[in-house]
Amino acid sequence: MSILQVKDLTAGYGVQDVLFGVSLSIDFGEIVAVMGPNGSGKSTLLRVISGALSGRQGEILYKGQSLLNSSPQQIVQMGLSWVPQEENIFPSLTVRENLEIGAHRVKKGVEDRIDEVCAIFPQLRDRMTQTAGDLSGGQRQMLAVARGLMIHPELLLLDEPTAGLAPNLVQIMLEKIREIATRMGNAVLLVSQTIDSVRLSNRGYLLSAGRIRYEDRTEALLANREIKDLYFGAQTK
Amino acid sequence: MLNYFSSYLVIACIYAIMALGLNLQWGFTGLMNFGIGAFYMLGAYTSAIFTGSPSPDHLGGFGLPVILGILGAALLPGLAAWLLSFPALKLRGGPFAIALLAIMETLHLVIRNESWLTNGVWGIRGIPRPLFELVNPRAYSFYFLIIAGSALILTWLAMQWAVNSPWGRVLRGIREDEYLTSMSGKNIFRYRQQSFVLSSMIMGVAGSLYVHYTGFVSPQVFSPLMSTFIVWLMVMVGGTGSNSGVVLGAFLVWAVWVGSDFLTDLVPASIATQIGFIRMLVVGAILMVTILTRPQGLLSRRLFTAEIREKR
Amino acid sequence: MADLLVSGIIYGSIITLAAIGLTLMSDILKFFNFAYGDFFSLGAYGTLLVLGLLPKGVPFPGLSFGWALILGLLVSVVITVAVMLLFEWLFFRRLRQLGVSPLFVSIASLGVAFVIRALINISWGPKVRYYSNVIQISRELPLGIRITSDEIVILISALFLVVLVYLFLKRTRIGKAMRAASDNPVLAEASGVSTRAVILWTWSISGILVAVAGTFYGIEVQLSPGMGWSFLIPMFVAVIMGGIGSFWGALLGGMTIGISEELITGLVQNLVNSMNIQADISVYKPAVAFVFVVLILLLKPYGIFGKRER
Repeated sequence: MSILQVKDLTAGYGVQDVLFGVSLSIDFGEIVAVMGPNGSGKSTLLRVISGALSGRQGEILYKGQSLLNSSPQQIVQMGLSWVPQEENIFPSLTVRENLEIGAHRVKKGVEDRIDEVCAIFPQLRDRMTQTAGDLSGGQRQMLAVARGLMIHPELLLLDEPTAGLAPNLVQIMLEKIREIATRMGNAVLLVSQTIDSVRLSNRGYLLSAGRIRYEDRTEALLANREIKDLYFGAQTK
Repeated sequence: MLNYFSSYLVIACIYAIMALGLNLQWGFTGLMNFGIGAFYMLGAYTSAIFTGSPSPDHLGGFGLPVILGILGAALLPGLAAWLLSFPALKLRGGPFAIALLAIMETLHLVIRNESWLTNGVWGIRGIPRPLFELVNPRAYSFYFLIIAGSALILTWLAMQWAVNSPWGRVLRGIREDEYLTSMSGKNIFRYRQQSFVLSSMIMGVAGSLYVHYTGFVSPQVFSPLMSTFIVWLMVMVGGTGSNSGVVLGAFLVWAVWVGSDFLTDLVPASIATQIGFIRMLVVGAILMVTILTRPQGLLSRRLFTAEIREKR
Repeated sequence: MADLLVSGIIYGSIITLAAIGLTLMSDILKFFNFAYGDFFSLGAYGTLLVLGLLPKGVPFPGLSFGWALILGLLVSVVITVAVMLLFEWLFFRRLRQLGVSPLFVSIASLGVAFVIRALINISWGPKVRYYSNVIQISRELPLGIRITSDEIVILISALFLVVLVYLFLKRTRIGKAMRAASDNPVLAEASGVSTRAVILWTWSISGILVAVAGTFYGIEVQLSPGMGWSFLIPMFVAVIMGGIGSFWGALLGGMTIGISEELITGLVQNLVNSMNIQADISVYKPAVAFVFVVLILLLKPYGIFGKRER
């Protein structure tokens, strides 16, 4: 059984649909990428899966259970954690408080989990009492992901985790994501426009204008001339 | 009996004019103004001071003809609104409402306390009533109804024309999508200011009509409930954004109001004294129910319904 | 001058208590609750109600009130919070579910305000009331400060309550959840924070604060059905000035508005009196509030500690 199955999902904002009949699946422990240009609906896809936005039609199954009428709170308790691209931390809370909120539903062992994520992101260790809004871009991103890890998710939804980061930080972040997947064994659904991020995955989908155009192993997708030129243009030089 | 009815109609017409003014500010421009009574008061007192007979107690008594009184009642609130628009229109939504409420409260208190200007709580009497000498005093309501009714029709026509004019279309554009409208080069502030000023002038005229009808003005007449919030109720019930709707709302709400007067004769004395508060209770309840069940009001343009309920 | 400062601080403390509750509510519930002033009145009258039911007790030495009022206050807090939760459950929650936009919900809250005020008027009548007829004499403190014992108790209690709320928001699990929901409601939900719980706690905390504030005003001055409505303007101005959702903003805003209104109108009054002009300057308090709100928003559009676009 897959950990996540999206079947024919149609969704949007108000009267405007953004996703049209999207289908994909992820196995336990797999890292899957959804790539595509700006505006293709990648963020919307993650929004719907996490419960922040309602789907209009279609089905989403998490470990066989339908997510369609579940609230974001219920979904996160099932083990599905979402890290948005923007507005992904609590700026007026301290770093520690951000992590604590990430573990809001966790009854015991919150301190241990904080230690765990600090082992992955050591930079956070020294900044526990700092206000999150004062962190640098890179530190924020790390905090955002760390917050998402606090519930020990079985599926992690990452929306452009390296967006806006300086090149050296990009590499670090990607390593961290790989480290997380290895250590915790969780599946990852990674949404990105950049080749580097996409390379983390074994398998990928190409989303364009709200529809899945291609599905294949990542290397095959990236080797595909058409896809490279059309969607990754300047990056491939 | 007929006199009661024509008196009801006159006041309903005056409130309908107020409601049309509020509709311009709120329905078409999205200004949530909880201080409209300020302009109503300004118009009323301006008229009183301009046209009243001289008195040692207070300013005014210039004895000017009624027509100048009405003109003054339009211009002074307009000027006040114009001056206020510079600071006040920087605010939106709740803060704007509070700011205008503060203005109204201040004005109300000033009128009550500055006796040298307004004769304070004793009010100003002897305001000329047009045609009063010419007609049977008992039947005055009928004759004033001609004036009030014409004023209402004129205002309604003006508002209909304004709303459908290019100017009105820009206003609606601002209300629906301000960003987009500003991108097309329109000076948003100017349009909102014009709407605010025009609306205030209309309310000033309503105030003027009121005092020329009753021949008397005092601060008690302009409580926040009677000068501002009853008009809001009329607009909410009648239909935000619909000129015909708010006029209907005015007549309906005022009918309920006057109707409750009849009830005071039917109920025991202990309840009769509470009538004022029971009315307040009913106003509150009707407002709550209206927004719960039909926030767009009875007659409303479909255009605005979409904004009242956000799509999830 | 010292007198004005003292009365300004008392007045400011009462506004601050209410403003802290109001800023939380405006932020988390996302609308301007114009009935808040009348909940203030409800708090005061609730205490009066219970006071009337209890046997007349002996005031504490030096104060105008005794155990009866304390008990009355506690019960009134419960009543006020219960009434507010009732309106939330029957009315405001429905409006949210229907997706009614915040401006319209604010207008709807006006309806609630009128209902409550009318009921208070009908139940107790328009005449002014007092909790007790014990007259308080001011005591003389160093620096020429004159203050009554009641006022000292009010100040200390207000401070205590403010600290309590601060600790609640900062240290408790639900307090942090409320702050998180205020910062980023979507992410809070995605972290498992219950929106329902946050909303209920928000109503409750602001209910407690506003009921206490109303009762303090009743002790300090008097009770009248319109008492809360006249506080509406300074309370909202404090919230707006401080930044919607900001605890420190409400504190700063509340004290600033309270002290300024008293000081400015008081000083101008002294000036006017010395020039032998007959005028009551205290009526211009709302005008002071208006000027403040405009000034601050010109400099800092979201308030001094304001967070983001509303």
